[in-house]
Amino acid sequence: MSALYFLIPMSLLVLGGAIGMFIWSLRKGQYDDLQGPAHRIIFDEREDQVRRDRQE
Amino acid sequence: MSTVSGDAVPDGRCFHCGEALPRNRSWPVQVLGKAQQTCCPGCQAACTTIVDLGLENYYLHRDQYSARPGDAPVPDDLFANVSDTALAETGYVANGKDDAGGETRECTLIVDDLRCAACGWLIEKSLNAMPGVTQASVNVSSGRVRVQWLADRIQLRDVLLRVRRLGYRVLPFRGGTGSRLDIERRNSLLRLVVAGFGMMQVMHVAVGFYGDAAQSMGIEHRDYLRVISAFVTTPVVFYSGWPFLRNAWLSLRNGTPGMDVPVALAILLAYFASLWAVAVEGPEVWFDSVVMFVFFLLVGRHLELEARRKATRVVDNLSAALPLVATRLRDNREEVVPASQLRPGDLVRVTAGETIPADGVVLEGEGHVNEAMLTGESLPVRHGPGSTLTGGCTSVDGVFRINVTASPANGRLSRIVDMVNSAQAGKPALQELADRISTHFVVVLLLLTVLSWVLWQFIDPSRAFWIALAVLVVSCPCALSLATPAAYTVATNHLTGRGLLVTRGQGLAVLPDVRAVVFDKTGTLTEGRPTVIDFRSFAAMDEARAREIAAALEHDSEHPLARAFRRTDRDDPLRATQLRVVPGRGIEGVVDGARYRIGARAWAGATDFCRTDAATSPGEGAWVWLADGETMLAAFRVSDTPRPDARQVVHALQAAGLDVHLLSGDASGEAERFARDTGIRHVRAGASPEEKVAYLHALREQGGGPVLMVGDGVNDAPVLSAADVSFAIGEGTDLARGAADAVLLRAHLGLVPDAIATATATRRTIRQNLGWALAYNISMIPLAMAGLVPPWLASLGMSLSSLVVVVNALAIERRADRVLYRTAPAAHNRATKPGEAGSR
Repeated sequence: MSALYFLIPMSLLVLGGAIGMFIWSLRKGQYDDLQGPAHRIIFDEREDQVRRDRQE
Repeated sequence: MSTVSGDAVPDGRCFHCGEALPRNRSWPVQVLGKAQQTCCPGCQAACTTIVDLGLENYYLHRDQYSARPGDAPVPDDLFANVSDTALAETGYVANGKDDAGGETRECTLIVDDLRCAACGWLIEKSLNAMPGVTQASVNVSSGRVRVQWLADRIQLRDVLLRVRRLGYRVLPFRGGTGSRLDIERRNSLLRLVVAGFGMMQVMHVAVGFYGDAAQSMGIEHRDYLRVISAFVTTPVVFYSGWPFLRNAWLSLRNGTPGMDVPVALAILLAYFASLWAVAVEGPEVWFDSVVMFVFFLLVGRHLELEARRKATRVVDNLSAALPLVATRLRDNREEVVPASQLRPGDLVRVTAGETIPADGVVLEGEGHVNEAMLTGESLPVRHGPGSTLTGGCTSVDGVFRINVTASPANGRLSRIVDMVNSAQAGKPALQELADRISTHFVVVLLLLTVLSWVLWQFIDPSRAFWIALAVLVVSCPCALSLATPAAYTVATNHLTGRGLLVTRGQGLAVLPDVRAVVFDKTGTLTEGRPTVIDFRSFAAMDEARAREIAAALEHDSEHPLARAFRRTDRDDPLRATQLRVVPGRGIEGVVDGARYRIGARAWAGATDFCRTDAATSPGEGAWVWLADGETMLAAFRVSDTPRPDARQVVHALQAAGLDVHLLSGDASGEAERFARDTGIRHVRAGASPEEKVAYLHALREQGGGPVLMVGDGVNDAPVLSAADVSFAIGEGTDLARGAADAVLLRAHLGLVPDAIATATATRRTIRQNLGWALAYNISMIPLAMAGLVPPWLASLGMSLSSLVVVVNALAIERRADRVLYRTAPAAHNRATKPGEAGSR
């Protein structure tokens, strides 16, 4: 059971890290627009690739 | 709005906007190595701009046709009178410095027609590629663009022109980098996430306690887990739960304790009692219940906030209705000044297509003004010397010299905004059923706690404190406080799925009691755009042919009535040449080799009055005349048409025992006619915004019940916020949407009875929830007082009672359908085509 004394604080550290990362992404405005960025990644694909996909 | 897959545009359609190509000619473009056709010089120009910028991939990625940019290419001097310095003075443009020390300016733009993510990509790419622009970012959800540029390289007008050239209508937006609602949303999201993560941690520790009913865990381990729980719970209570604590404190200080008081009390009691138990090694802690409670409450609040944000996509956007700059006449010279600097007595000039910058009286000039923004009427009104114009309306074809009578800040439009604000503030605060119960409940609870402590002093003083604490926590009004918000959250989501966005949950509480429903006419019960409803032929010309000729002549016209002729069934419409537009009269042009005139009767064909007079009785709408220069050929009656489900919905509401009223700003007698057609018995026509509010108040006093208002325009905004509960049409103005409790995302009037049914089901569920919560608390309290509730059961019971309330709320959807079927079968209008909503 003594493992708890190590593991639970570790999990809390991970928790703190997760919240920290969330704050960072929030400040960066990553949650302000939930539509645009979802598509943006597709647009910078090479165009011939897109064309091929469409033809299939 | 039709969809398109990449560059696969069907033959006979404009490659850019997707409209049917004219038969005789088209404007070619070269896109992605293929020759394509567009329908007008405007589309051609926009498309060429996109190709020249190397952004033609846009066409591969868009999933909707582009918005129609206008018929002609954008002139270079379109934004010539937009000056950075004037805009900086009025707060649209912010000054700053970049990393290299150069002077930068920053502005937020509102972009209309930002339809899909590809549009956002296009604008962002093209602005970032523009020399002088340091940064540009597009928010597709809110339709806003933030742009920063070097002051010595370019001006805002260049940025605006670039966006306009891509085919988008664009306006600067005052309000800096983030609106109040955006900041509120970020905070709310963080609170929710902290509570969510906290809940996971505390719950998985708590499972250890639940499983340890036999209390076999070593004291040392138990205390260790307790300390961990306390450590995680603390930020959840004081950061995530802060809105509840603060509201409770504020409402106590104002002497109006609301639902937040028992909520805050429950949170704080359970939290501090647990802390105390940790400190003195008491028998039980309740951290799991605390975090779960906070998390559930926050989910509901966050959803409501999100709905509000979606509804008012552009908050406090009304200022956009007024132009930024005005052309002032002084000493026979024209100068461009910020519109906000206009004072009574100034002379301004307004040309065709411009927006009137301030209220004033016409000194010179004549023409039509579109007052739809104010009165909701789609047909423009004729104005001449001596008549009064309202700032924010648009001159359709007239050039006016205006004597300003009120500065924009004191003008009619600003007064309407003020009315909205004061009406909202004056709305009676709603006392929820749960509020009333829980306030009494808390008092009784505190008395019982004291009582049990006193009693146990006589039985076993060593247990007295813990038993008193158990009573307090076991009976904590968590389930009671959750009963209402959980039900509203489910009901709100259910309605959103159907197309009604509820922005203020309070509206749902009033809806089941509503005795009268008041509708606006134009744009609410009607489509809000003109259509041809009647036709007369005076020569051997059939309707189809006449309509085609009219469509050809009116194709490029900006006149509102022209929209009635836009839709033709043919894929290869006729095209008019040698077009000549006579403002205030009509259009002349050559179609298929013959010369035609369309417009006012006296102008189109002045001969044979008698014959045409008899056939065209005055009545609904306006007549538009078609002649070939000598004889009158045909006449069209153009009017706004009712929405397809208007009559059905009115009948359904009346069948459910509600009074239906029509309240219109239109004074032409059409309101009365319309009411007769749809079966509405109570009509008030020609009402100003002030009179509309007065009508509503009178109605409430007579009818003795809450009133539901449904409207769409700026002129409806005050009455929407004054009504007990109000819906706005999603296609309506931003101000109307901001003032209403809910927004109809699809133009489906059937949602009105739907919403009433859901609200009724919600109320029933809330009653059940309250009943259950009270029953649970009341049965547990005597057991706790008797010292019969083991700690693990108290803890589990609290969490479970909250869960039962949440799960019961989920049944609302099913119940809403049953209520609907019983009270208003006709209202469940599934016959209307869903595609119609977005066709505008």
